[in-house]
Amino acid sequence: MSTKILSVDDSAIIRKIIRNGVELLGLELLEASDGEEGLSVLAQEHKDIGLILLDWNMPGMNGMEFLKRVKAPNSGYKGIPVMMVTTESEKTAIVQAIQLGVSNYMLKPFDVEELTKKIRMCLGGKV
Amino acid sequence: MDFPNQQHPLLNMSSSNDPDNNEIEMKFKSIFLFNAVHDVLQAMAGISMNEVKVESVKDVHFTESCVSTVYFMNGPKNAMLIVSIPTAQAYTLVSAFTRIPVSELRPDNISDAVDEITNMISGKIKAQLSPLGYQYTNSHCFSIYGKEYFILHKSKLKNIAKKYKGGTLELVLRILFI
Repeated sequence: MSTKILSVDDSAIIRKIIRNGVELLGLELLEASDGEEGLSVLAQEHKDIGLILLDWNMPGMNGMEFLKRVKAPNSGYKGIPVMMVTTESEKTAIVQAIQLGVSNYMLKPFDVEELTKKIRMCLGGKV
Repeated sequence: MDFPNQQHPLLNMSSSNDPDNNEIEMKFKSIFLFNAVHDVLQAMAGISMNEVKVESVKDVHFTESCVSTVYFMNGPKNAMLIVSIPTAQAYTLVSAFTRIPVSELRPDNISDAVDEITNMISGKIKAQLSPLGYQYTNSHCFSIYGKEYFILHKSKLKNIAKKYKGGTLELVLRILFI
């Protein structure tokens, strides 16, 4: 089983909170502060990444652009599940994300319990 | 810039009780700003916030060092959302929800965290406006911090000013209609 999780979020504080939850599950967190950096991490580590936690609004390459790249037919990363972690609650935005292939959607603010529960769901209960 | 409190233009601006507020401003007022603030602080740090009744705008102004974050909300009536937290309290708050000891937190951690708190409050406000037919998008955030700074604007600018308190944490929320 892939034991690494990639968090793509421009906030170091949010990545730290996510790290606390991920480590509770005994998993390793990889971090990227925007979509470009996320793609670089994916290029090197994609075989070990079991889930991507993705923010929507980021300077540089935002979450939607990153998601389109990841879910593109020949990306090589299409099979990695993606969970949005965002304040974006517009129905049209959520539908757009689902149509692009996200597996789950978590609104900020969240607590560690909700985070770990949703990570487990995305990983098929294997942690 | 340094102003004695009594002379500061901020203290002469129109209050949230301005009778000329239009419909959208009224919707902002009626969408439970308190719930947005309370839900975010409860989820992130387990803090229950209460609204502090204020008599005038000067009661929502911090004179001590504080961190402010500004978001521009673009929609049917553009607005600027400002959240301010005293710096010392912000350190304690961020330590509580990251489990990083206060002594290890850096100033950029604090502005980053207050940015995120403001982003989440803004998200909660947007989520309540949307079903009423008011669609908003947010800019990226801007942070201001230090001692004795003022965010100045024309005195007739419509605004909402609220103060909240939970334990030792105080937070000021302002919405300026631009």
